[in-house]
Amino acid sequence: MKTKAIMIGAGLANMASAVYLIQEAHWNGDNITFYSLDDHGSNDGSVTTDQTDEYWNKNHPLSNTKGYLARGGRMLNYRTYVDLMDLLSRVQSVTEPGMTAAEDTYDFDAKHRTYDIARLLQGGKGIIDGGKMGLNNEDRLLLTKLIMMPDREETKLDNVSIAEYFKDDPHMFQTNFWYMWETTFAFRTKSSAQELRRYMHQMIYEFTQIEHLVGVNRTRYNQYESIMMPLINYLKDQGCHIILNRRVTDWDFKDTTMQDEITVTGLTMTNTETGAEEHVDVDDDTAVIFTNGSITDSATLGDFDTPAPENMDYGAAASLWKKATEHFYNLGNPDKFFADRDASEWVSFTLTTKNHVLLNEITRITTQQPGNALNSFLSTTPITPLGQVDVNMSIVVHHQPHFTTQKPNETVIWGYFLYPRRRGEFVQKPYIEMTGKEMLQELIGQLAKVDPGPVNIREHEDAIMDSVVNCIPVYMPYASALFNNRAKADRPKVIPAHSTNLAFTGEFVEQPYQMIFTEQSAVRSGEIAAYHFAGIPMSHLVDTPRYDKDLPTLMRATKKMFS
Amino acid sequence: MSKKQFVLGVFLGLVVTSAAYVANRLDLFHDDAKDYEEFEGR
Repeated sequence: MKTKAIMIGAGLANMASAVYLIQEAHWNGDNITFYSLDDHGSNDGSVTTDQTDEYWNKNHPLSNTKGYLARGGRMLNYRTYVDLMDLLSRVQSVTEPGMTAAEDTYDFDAKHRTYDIARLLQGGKGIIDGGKMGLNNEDRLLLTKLIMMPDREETKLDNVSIAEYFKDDPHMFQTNFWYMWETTFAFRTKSSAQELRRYMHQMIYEFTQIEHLVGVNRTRYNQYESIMMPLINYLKDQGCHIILNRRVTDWDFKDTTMQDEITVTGLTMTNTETGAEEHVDVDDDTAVIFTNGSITDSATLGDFDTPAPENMDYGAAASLWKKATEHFYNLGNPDKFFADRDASEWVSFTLTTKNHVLLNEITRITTQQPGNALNSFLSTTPITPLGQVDVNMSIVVHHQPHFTTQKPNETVIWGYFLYPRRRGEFVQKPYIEMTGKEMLQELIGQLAKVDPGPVNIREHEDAIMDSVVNCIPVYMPYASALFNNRAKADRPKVIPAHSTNLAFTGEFVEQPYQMIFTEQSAVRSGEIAAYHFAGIPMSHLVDTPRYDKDLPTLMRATKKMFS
Repeated sequence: MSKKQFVLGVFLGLVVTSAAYVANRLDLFHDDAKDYEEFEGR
């Protein structure tokens, strides 16, 4: 057992770990210290100017820093994100007095239920009925094999990509199911079939209602204000030390005869503000809890007139992870996730406008009120290597306001291009090379194609352009890295064998059953780490519901496959 | 044994076998807690 902790990384996983150490193990918050580049990880959300000086952004100054920026945002699912909701029930909302962060989201979501009625759109067809999954018998058989594969056989999918799993069934990639699945969860065809299996198991209930996203729950505001700030405020109140602008660059490990005892004795880090190198000793009472990868590491920003440049940095967390693997054999393989950008990269954009012209047009075209929908625009011509139609882009029109400081006349819309090297349909260049203005032109073009009229959105294009405050492209080389093709041994276990004081947390760790990219698994990994070092039995972990073993759910899923 | 009893027996046998197969594939009787034993504090 330990009594102190050093957290490398101040994202959700390690903040969760700290909360459980304080509340369940009754640790003194003063005994917990975070070292991190920032205090949000992939759960950012703020005015642009709050992020321009951050580590990944300061070397690429923007000419337009107006508006808001949220590089991404997670959809929640109360039914399965039980650890996340448990965590949020333990801290106070920063925007709703008298409510916990969990009560805050429950309250908001109850008043703004998700019911997507324009999940898929295509030129010439308008809104497509996503309820018709489009699966044939071969598709159903392969999906059923995944669902019927028990956890103990998961290694059969070691190093099998989704493309390989369905290599004899390219029809799968022409189904409404796939279009919805890939854009809801950001899976790419090079992604891991092993992870797809985990998703099919943990999200089997939502599979039965995927076209309307009925099971999607949302936070009141962006993830930083609704999730991270409650945690940050709580931990600071408890006396935790959150030391930012630190990039941990190397380890000291205890030397042992057989070199298989994993004991951290020191950390080297760079103060990214001053450039000074610092060293921290790790004593026998201290646990080191390390988030070994971030999907927003090496991300870069553009603006309305500037594309986001590419930053070829391997990633701060991943670089440190790699250093650890140079000492021990059982800590996974970071290259599987951070040395294959073609498998993981995508670009998003955050669009801020000063009026509701565009929002009103999107509402008219999609027949969907703002908030809680995800709309994906299908191409009308083949765009994939297999010569198939696919999704060009997707947007999320948040419930407004999405930021607490947003004025009533302002709107914020988010969108993303899952395959950033594909060329635009209206702007003849790859999405990754587009400015924010060009991304907006792509969006208007996609909306114009599906516009039912009578006045096409093109007639309002000038007014829409005039309304723009900013449109910020974000290039994220590792946005889907956590889905990269892998073997089970490629991710370190939360508590690796022979580790005396080191735990791994976040989205690049191996733990039973959990799917990733959901915040749920990040929280659970932090919980496991906390309980391990505090000597709390694992039986105290939040119970995990297993809908993949619930016969009524499985029967509904079977029925859905034939829709 | 009558023909009816024989057919019923075969049918029941198939049902039980199928149920056992599904239960096995779904790991219905697996105790998930065992999966976390390796993370217990040492």
